[in-house]
Amino acid sequence: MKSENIIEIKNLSVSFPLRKGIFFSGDREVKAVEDFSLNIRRGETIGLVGESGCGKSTVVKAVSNLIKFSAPEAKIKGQINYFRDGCAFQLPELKERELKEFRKYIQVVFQDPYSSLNPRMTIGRAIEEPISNFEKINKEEKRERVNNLLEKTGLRKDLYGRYPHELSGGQRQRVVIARALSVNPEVLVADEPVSALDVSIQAQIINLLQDLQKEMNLTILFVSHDLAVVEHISSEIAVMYLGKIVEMGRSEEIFNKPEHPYTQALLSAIPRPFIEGQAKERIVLTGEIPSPVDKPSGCVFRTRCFLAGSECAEIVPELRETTAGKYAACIKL
Amino acid sequence: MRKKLLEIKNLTTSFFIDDDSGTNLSRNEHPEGKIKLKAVDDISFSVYEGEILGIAGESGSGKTVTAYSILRLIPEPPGKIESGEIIFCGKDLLKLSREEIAGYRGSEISMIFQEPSSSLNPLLKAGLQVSEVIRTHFNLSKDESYKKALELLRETGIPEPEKRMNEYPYSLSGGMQQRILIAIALACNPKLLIADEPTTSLDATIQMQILQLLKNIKSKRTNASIILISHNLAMLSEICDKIIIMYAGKICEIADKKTMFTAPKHPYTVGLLNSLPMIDGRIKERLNAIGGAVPDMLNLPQGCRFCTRCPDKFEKCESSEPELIGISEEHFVSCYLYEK
Amino acid sequence: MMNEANKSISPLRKKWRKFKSIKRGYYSLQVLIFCYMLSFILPLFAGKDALVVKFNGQYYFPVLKYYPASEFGIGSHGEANYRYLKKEFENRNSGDFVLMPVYPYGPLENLLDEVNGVPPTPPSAEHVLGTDDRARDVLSRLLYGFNTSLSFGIFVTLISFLIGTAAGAVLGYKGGLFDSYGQRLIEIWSTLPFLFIVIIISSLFQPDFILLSVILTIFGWMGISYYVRAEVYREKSLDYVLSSYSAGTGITKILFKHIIPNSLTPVLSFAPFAVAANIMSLISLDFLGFGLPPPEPSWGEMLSQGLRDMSRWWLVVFPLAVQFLTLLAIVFIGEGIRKAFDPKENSGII
Repeated sequence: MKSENIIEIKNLSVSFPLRKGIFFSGDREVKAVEDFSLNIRRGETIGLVGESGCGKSTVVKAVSNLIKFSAPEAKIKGQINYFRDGCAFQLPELKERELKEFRKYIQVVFQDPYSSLNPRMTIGRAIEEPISNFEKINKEEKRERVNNLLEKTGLRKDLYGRYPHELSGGQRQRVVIARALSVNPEVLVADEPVSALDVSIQAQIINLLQDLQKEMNLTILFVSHDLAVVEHISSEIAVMYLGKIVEMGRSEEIFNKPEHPYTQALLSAIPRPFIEGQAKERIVLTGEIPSPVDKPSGCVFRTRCFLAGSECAEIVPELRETTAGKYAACIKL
Repeated sequence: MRKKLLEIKNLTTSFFIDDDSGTNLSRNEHPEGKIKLKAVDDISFSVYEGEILGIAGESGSGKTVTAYSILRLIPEPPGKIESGEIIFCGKDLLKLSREEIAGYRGSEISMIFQEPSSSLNPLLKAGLQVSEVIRTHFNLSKDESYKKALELLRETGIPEPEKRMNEYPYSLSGGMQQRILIAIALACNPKLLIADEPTTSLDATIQMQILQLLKNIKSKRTNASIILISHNLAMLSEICDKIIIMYAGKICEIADKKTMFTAPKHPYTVGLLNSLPMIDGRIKERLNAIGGAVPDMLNLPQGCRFCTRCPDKFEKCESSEPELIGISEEHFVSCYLYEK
Repeated sequence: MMNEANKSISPLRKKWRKFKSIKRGYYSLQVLIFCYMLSFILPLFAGKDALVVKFNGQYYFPVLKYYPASEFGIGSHGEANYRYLKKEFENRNSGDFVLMPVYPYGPLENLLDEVNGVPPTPPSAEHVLGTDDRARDVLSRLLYGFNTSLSFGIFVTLISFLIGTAAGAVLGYKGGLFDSYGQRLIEIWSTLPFLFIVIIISSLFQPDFILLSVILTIFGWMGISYYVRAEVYREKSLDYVLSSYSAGTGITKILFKHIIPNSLTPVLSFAPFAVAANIMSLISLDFLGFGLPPPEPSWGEMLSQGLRDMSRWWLVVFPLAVQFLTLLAIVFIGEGIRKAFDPKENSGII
């Protein structure tokens, strides 16, 4: 039984103009995301993985309608369809009031637990804020709701009146998750939610997210540079490089049968605890990640690719289906 | 029989910080209203010649403070290396004068830090920063030190080194910057290289490149030793011969790479390995996270520091701290489970 | 994870505690506040009006109400001179009395008849710090001038910081072209020649407290705007602002509840120094004659009298001394605040 799509991203492109002088000269721009298409199914966890400059954070902001706020000069092309209660809607069609409602539908958890909370606000107030924005309920009810959320995310109720600086990184991230869940969203976008945490705490937060997903039937878009974590938590994975998806498919298949040379290199780069007798053949890529401003022509990965040939500079590879449900963008396959 | 290059005995490094909390913890009180935080508490270990040693631990474990203590880079105040010995090539580094220990830095023992972008002077060209180190320690002319710097850049695998010599740090990528820093660290042929989280801020594929580079350096300079510090236990397993696990200022376990991952003894090590999403090349279904959190260093539990989170604890663990004991020649654990 | 037993301390409270631990600044603050509060009831301690007069069985409170000399039968015109009245009652010994403040001289009264010698007279038993060239008591003028100077400094700082913070916040928040143009406008505004304009205005209008405050504000609001702008720029890019926005919080609320409260560090750190600077500006203007008009008790004016002829050392030394002590106290407070806000001090370990 395949669940239906909750978000369909079609040919999303986001570019940021680079200013020259007082006026926007328009010819130099950073194409942070290019022709990005992804279907997110309800109730599943989709992983988005890539290194710096791949555009995954931009995708996060585009899906949660935060680009206009954080970068008003950005140019967005393409279409994102959202599905709710059986109806489809798109952001440009929404009116002011509906845009506010949209915030209840999709929430974001960011990477840095230290800058995700206002240092002058108690965490009780921080978790309450989204609730206050949408509902007019009295103090006791609000407190009750916050206490429930604290419990759900594994925090002690007496932390309500504490300030962020009194909490550890793991606790802060739990607060951030509690805050995101306070409006009962359908979709949770997590942008590197565990990267800034200690290893032992990472595992706690990952487990927490998985439990919450089951309990609240959440759809999660999990973005990270750590392929091992993404493989663990996601059912489907999209691998990004310099703004494009290079490979996409079920996570077991990506892990066991990576086809795109970049995916293979990424897998190979996961540090492995010692395994007896395994021939450790590592794929070590040459060169550096090119700047998103100056992308290579043709296939953007060709400058570091061990399969690259001369034709790779001319043709932009399309994301094609190689086996059922698996897509890769490489002309050498 | 391998020679010991560095031997640390009973090192304790503390910091005196303001008592902001409002309660005066009488245990560790110090005049002037400051309280003592023992970042590193009575640790001992050795590094042999030609060995790559990894020190693993999470935040607050004391691994960085240990590294800084070796080169006496701890700012005093608020820090202080209170006791212990650091024996390097027969000399106790803690007993040297300021000028003497300065002479060791960069030449006998050199260090690379975590953030490559802030470790390089943004106003000086990359090549100049490398050759400057060479000229300071050896009396070479400008041309000779330039040539030597070029060689080092080549050794660290920087493509088009002549071009890079003339570039400023801002135009270099993170991985490139880290290579420059490694070149600076190697400039004087140190006997010991300490790398504090050298790959943490780098991308995965670049991380792999830098680890490969360290492996190559090691194979070329066979008698040099490397101390590699990281929170990424798996990353350490890539190149380290021996690994030390630290927790809340103390050493939990010391073992060679194979033993550490196939037969770890300390419950913390076991817990850490269980927390990793991938083991034996497979992705786990469910992670066995260690509950709780790292203890407040100002309010440590009475007994073993890990006892509040340990699934195997018993009564003795809560009242006294276990010693580091050897359970085989190269394997040490500090846990009452293994006390004879 | 902090000690669970404690009450939670907000970041602001933490900084206040740190400030309190810096004794020099904390004590200066206490002393200054005490003196300033006292300066509002100064007539009870120093002044020409008696506190209580008992005359013919009736009680009068001249410190609160004006009484002509005729009321007490000591003259036909003008206000009653209570010192004279006191002597009179003492001579008569009739049960009437006059209770004067501890120091019975006012800042504005001309004491030509009561003073020995040609004004300005040096310190004496009656006039502890001497008199100025219009035979007005120096100590009294210095004491009354304290309130004026400090009030001026605080008032101007308050208004100019309000305007400057608002301007900085708007520029920092909007960013982009708006910010570029706005900054250029501020820079152009900063080139206005302060002294010329003050001289012109002073010669056209009779400057008073309000007018001088307005002038100084016009020239002084820009300073803090740069700092607030920088803080706002930084804060608005932090994740908690983005999170708040994605939680549905409106932009005004984000600005006032999240961004601005966290951008006020420079405002608090610079405030004491701005107060000191504004006090100095007033003193300088008074010194040059473009400030508060006579007969306002102003330190600067007294200084200019003294420096005209240095043999009247009491007109130089004493005003300088009060200025110095007041500004020193303010600077200590500023130093304490800066130490309390200094991020390096607060971090503890590396």
